[in-house]
Amino acid sequence: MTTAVLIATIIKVVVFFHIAPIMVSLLTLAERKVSAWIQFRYGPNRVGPWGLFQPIADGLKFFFKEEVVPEGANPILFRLAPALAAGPAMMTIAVIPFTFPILIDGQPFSLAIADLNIGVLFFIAMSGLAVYGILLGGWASNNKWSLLGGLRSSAQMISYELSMMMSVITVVMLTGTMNLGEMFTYQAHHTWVLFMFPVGTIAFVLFLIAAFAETNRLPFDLAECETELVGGFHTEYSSMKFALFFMGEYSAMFMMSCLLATFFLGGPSFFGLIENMDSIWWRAILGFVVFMIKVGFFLFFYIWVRWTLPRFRWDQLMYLGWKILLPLSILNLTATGILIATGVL
Amino acid sequence: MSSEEQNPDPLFTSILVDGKEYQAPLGGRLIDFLHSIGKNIPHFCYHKGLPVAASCRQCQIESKGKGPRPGLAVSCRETIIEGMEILTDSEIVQKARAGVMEFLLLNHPLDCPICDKAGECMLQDTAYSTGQSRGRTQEPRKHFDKRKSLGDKILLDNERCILCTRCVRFFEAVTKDPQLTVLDRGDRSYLSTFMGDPLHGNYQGNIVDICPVGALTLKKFRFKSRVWFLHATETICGLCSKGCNISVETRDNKILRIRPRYNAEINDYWMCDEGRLMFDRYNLEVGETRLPSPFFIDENGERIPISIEEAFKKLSPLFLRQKEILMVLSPFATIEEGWAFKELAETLEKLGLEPTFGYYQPDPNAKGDEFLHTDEPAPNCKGLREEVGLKAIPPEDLENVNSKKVALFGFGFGELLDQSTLESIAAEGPMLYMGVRSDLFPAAKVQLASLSPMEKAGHWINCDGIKQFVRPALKAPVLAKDDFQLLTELLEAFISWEENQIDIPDEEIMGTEEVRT
Amino acid sequence: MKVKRMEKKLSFMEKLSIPEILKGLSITFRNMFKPKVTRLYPEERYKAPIALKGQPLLVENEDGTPRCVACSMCEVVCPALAITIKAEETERYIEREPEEFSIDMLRCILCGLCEEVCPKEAIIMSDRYELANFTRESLVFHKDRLMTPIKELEGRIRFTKEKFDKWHR
Repeated sequence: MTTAVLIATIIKVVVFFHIAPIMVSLLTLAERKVSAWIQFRYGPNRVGPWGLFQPIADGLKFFFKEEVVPEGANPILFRLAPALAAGPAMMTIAVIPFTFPILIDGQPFSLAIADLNIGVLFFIAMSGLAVYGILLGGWASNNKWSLLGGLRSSAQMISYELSMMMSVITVVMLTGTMNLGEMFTYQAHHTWVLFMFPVGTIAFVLFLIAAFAETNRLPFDLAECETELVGGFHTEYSSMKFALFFMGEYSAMFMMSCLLATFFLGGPSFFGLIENMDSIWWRAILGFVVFMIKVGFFLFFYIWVRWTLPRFRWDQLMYLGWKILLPLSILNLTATGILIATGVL
Repeated sequence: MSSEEQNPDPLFTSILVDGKEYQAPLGGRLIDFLHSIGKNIPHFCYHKGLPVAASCRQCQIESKGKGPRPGLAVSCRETIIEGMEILTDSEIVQKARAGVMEFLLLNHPLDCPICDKAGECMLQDTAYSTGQSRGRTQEPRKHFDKRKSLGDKILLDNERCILCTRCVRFFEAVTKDPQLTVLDRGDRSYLSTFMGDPLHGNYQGNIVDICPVGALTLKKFRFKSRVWFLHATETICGLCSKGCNISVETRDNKILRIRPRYNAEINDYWMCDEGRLMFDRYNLEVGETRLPSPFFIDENGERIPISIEEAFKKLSPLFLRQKEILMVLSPFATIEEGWAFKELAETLEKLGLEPTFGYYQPDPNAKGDEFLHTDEPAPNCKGLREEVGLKAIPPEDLENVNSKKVALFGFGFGELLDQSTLESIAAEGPMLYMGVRSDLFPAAKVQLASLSPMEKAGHWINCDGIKQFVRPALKAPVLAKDDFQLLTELLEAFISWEENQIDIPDEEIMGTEEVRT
Repeated sequence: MKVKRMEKKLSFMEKLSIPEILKGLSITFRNMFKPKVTRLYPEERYKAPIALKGQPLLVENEDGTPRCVACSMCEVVCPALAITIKAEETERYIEREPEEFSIDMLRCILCGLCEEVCPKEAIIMSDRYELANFTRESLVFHKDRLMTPIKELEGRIRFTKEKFDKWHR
């Protein structure tokens, strides 16, 4: 590894790792703004221009809030849970290739923090970990609402992880790789998985639905579910611990959007316009812009759906997860196999 | 007075009122009888305690049978005779009364919101029940002198006056000292004193009570409070030994006015201005002139607030080390307090002391008159002397006395003692002062906060030997205690002290130089 | 027990639910560009209609004297016991005016009975509705803060006159 590569790697790690917190803070503002617009309101507009500094004000407020640890709470797990919730979501950022590789010292240099060959597996492992934060937070709080929220969350995540993984496997089969960088390169050269009709499209829809459930977003936010469970798993949390749960949720959203863009929308590619550019640097920069636009669309979609659809009932959620999505994803997977074997795709 | 016109013949006769037969006292006054059977006969000029004038014409009824000429008659002037037939609410009666009301209201100003009488005004009540809501006249109302001062107690508003002449008749018939009259004629007539002189005499306040409208107002009560906020307590006046029945009207624990209450045996409908106006002595401000809690003066002369138990602890040795004590009870004390005081003094005698005790008998002043006011400026001298059997202590006994051996019990020493005696006692300080005022004996060794006559219950006996109940009209400060209770507790404290022979070191007791010999 | 089910028969497309979801999404998306109904409060203030019963105020005549004659009718009628009045004598023809007139806005329930009962049209419910403050004392309004020139209250005085005339006809 040459010095140039080392320096480039350090810069890459620092820059890309900070994308997540920045996006999270912007997301909290975006959530409030979009919800306000949908409800004919203005949203936060007092701190800074168009309320842009609102996340800073919120963060400062969280720092100065009193930390409350309820009586009877498990002291270690209670403090560990927020970190467990935020950690895995932020870790997954490591395998996301934000744009096309660039050339350093004449060698192609991937712009993912860790260009793993088994990036998909890493993502699966991390998303499996995410449930611990919520489950432990709910269990350690010594509060019936929290406990119910945690239980629901774990059941829900396990239910939807299955169909999600099935659709990921479909993508892996279609693109023939587990490396996320190669995955979008394949899509750039062929076509986006989304357009690989019908199996790619169905996998996209399944993944999208499962992603909502995985991130505990409406219409699947049974884990917090204000009308039934007060605050769900984070009822007893305050101050920065609460903020960490929040950050976990939003960074998971960001991550899922990144994955959606990478798996199904070809990452930074855009119908041959960008991937065929001659200048590698321009390709990387414009690729990054395109990637963020795709991610931004999904983030907006998350918020948009939240303020449109009502929450599912618990039995409906389970029904949907086990009786519709899972068989559908298995069928889809089988169909993919048959299609690939017969050489159609 | 009313007794003059009482029915001389006890026989009853039956008369018809509104078609119903009633047994009415023969020769009684018709309006009184109609009121007694619950008929609402409005009236302004008629007052039970005054001679009849029949000038307002509001109490008209329709007569059909014997007695007055058939048609409208004025019920306040008619006596009941046999075979009367009366209609009190017929159409013609209603029409006549409405006409009278319209005439009365023609020039009466519409200033009920300003007028102090509003709420207890007979004209207002009648106008609400039977008057019309809109006047028919286009002409402006007549204007008179609106704020005419009649001496230092009463203000006259001639615009409001309806010329019922109750006040004129009061001075003519009750005090036998005519001072007011109606001048001029017709719609120009107005009420005035003779030659515009100020009113004099001790009974002016009564004309304010009997005024059916707000023409005569008391300067002391003017604009102080609306009458419906006042809380009235029926009690007895304590400013002389007559014991007039009064109604004390308070708001926010302050006496705002005092009015007489009817008692045929004592004061009829009236009371004197002294009793009516001198209530400031009861409106004591806690923290200024009111003793809020027991106090004790230590050897450095500092006032220290103490609890009642502590006060007794300080008092017992103080008393029991003195051989000769002068114990004086105020003549404002009730009979019950008199008994307790006597018991206390006699117990001290049994314990080997030689106390001189009795109630303070003030010298007669020259304020007495033949109507109500007496010479004796205290309410219960007779009761304490004759019922309880206490010895009278004349003012001379208190003049040159060693004030350290004096114990004063009860309300009223500030008002009763003359200035030099008061100062000589106050200078050294009596050993005990049980009362309500903090500015009177600030040097008293032990000061116990008790109640004023307006704050306690008990019995007084007036100069004619009538025993009357005194009710509390005001709330006392929280830490002040009833005199009777204090006296009995003091007695118990002395007894237990003597029985247990508790030895308190001398330094704990102030003023220990005079040890019992 | 016989139960009558009132469920709507769903068509295939409705059962698929994706088109319905898209329909809902399109509604919310269009909502985002509609005009806002929120009022930006400190900059854009709400001008209350004349019928609003806001902070009760005392009317001050053109010559600076109070209209109030301290008759205590409002003090009596006030269901929340918010009004305290102390009267004093003046040299004017109307010989009585309030020496102290205070409305405890912590107690006031803005019912408007004082305005209705006032025989002199001296206490008027104004259109002032910003009644928040930091201390209890500052919310007990005394005469100096209640006295308002008659010009500012003319509209409401006319309104109440018409209203009560209609009621009392």
